Amino acid sequence: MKQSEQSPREHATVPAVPHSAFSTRHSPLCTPGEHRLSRRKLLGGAALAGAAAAGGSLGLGSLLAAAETGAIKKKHKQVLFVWIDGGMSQFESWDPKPNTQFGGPFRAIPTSVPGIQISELMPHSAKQMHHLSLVRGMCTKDNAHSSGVGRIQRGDPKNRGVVYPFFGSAVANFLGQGPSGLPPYVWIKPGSGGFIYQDAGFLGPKYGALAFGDGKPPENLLRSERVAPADDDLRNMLRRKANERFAAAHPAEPVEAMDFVYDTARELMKRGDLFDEANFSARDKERYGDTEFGRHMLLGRKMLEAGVTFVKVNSYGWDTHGDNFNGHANLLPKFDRAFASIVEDLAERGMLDDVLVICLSEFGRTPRINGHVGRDHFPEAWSLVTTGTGIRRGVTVGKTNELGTYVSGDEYDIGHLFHTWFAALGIDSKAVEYDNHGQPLPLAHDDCFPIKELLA
Amino acid sequence: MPDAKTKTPPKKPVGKPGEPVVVTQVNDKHQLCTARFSPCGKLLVGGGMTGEVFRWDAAAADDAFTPLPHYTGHGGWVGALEFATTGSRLFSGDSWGRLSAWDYASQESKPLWSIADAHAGWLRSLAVSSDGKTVATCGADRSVRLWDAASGKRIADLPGHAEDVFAVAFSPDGTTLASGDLLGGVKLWDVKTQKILRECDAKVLAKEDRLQNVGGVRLLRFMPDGKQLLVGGTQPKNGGNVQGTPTLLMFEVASGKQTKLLDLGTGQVYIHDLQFLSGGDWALVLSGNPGSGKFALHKPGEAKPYFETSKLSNCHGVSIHPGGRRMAVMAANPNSSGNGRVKSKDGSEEYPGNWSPLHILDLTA
Repeated sequence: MKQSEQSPREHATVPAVPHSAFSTRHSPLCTPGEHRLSRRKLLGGAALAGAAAAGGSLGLGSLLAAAETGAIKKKHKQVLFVWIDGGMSQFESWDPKPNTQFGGPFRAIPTSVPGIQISELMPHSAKQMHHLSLVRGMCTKDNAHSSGVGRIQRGDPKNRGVVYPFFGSAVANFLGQGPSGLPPYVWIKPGSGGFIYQDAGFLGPKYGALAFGDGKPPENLLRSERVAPADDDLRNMLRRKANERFAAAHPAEPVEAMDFVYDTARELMKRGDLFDEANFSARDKERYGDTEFGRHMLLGRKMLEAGVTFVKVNSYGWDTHGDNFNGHANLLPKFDRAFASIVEDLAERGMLDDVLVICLSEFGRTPRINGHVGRDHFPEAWSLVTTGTGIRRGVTVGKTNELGTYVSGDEYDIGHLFHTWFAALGIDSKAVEYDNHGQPLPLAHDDCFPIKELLA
Repeated sequence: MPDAKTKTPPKKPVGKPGEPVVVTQVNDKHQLCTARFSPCGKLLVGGGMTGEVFRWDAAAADDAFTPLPHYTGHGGWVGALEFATTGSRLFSGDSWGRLSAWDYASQESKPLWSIADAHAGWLRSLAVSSDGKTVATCGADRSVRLWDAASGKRIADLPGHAEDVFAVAFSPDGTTLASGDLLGGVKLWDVKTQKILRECDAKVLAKEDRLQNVGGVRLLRFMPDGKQLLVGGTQPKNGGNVQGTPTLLMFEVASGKQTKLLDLGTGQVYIHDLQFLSGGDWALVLSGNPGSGKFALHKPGEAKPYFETSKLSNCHGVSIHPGGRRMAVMAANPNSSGNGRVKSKDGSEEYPGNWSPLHILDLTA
């Protein structure tokens, strides 16, 4: 169990290794360095591939570049990652078992997809079910928050003595900023904000999360009125010159990382409007709900619309060891309004074709109801929901037995989902590898694979 | 092992004069929401978590508490269960909104009447007027309703709560109804006119924690003289894994003013049930974190119990036998909590559930 809202457990101290790259899987006779591919090369390759496709001819270099980057689709993809911290109960949400031994007090209701039922606590999501896919066969390894959060968000790869990136950092690394120039990985959360470099693991601090604590922008985001735009440009030019001089005598990567963060911050400075709640329509505020989570999800939508590559939105307070049913009766309707609204909006705007949506916790909750009328942690049989680019919609994948105590049939670990999500983003996780200073590393657990039933 | 002929009878438990001792335990299988003795004392009933009302024969001299056929037809949790003090009516309400009436003296296991959608969603609590003619219910649909006990006809809706209504109680003379909600709002209603007489502020029992409104009014009891209203719950500190201080508030019915705040101690979270012993003392049960919980006896208005035991883990219900010297305390089985999959004791793949032992306690002479 846990008490804190955000906490050190989310980010166990991680040694930052300032390096980022990935490669395609290669012959063991080759040296890893030959396959190293920088982000700049990758983007250049993508551009060449696009140009070649348009022009109808390819030189050898272009062909190689296209081959290297062929695993990545050309259109900019985005991700909405909704993290329900503490553990949402699958019984009270996506996998109800009404009137069974562990089913709890709530009913199941029909959804917009015939045959799929979810908890009565989520009537709005029920109406969006044709846009969603439920994975009801999750079976993961960790029943502790302190380690489980990281294991799930890093995809629980095989232990190779390195700290893997959170999914947000991985996506930021692969997909970059996109045309918006905005920070590639933002995290909207209750509590404090800041730059959370630890998420990036071996990718290096450049791919950390920019956290908007309480949904607010970083302090002093906007240029001070006392500094004229021209003066600001001059100051920035001076900074660049100093950096170039410094970089000439030092390893390039830390300097690149610093430049990257600084440049994206400058882009963000131009978009202070994103945070201004006065720009949120009354209708949207009503639909998303006048709650912390509702406001944060609405801000999340704004970020996606502005072109941010990876948007994570957190909700805290789901660790319902005690009074679970009153807790979920209160939490879920508020979650439901915001989640259903953002799915509806992304669908209406055609954004689900390019935005991957993921909503999950570090585990589910126990079937048995404890003496405090609560449910404890249960990684053995739980559910998550996903949709968007590359994902089949309106389906369930995997199932639990009648009592919800075991997964019936195929069990899916988080590694399977990582492979699936990479595939949905156009990244072949079996062909592409990370290159950690020459150490080739798979993107996700070697023994797992993409779930075909989940892919469009 | 001794055979049946030579088996010595179990020792009669001994306690200090006036203190309760456990004489037997009923139910080693089902998880329950509440339990009550019938006014005649011959029946013990429990509201189950899979839509049943379980029944046990409480009249046998050997305290065997033989299970009787249970009532079916409910859905979800049967958390509201009360007898009329006159006649032979039992009323039950469930988390799917159904309200039913039963003739418990009959051999029939069919309800006298049953209303599937008495509330839209969780029917949280019910109360029966002292003359047995009116039933009051409340629920997650924020409504309070009055029903004709004989026919099941809805008499009135009492609107006004802004959130889930958790508890209702009739005054001993049946003229006033109290209702309490998730946000700590307590309303006193004139049953005849169905107007609000006054409101009591029990907001100390509620807290908004991020997305969760925590706590609320979990218990309402009029004192036997009808002059004071007891309002129970917790003073919550946080949502999620709720922590707080179990608390009883006392309000003067005539004015609606709070007269006492009884802090029932640390280590627990909620007060779940309170019943009056024949002398007016309070029997109350509390639950808290895994492994905690207690049953206690208090002098009226006193925060400190004159008897308490924490051996009965996580207690959620208490009922007083009409004989006055016996009570049933509904608790949780030991080791009811824990993360991850629990293995069955026999090593099988079966996933074991919890149950709610009903501890039968007698007051020592």
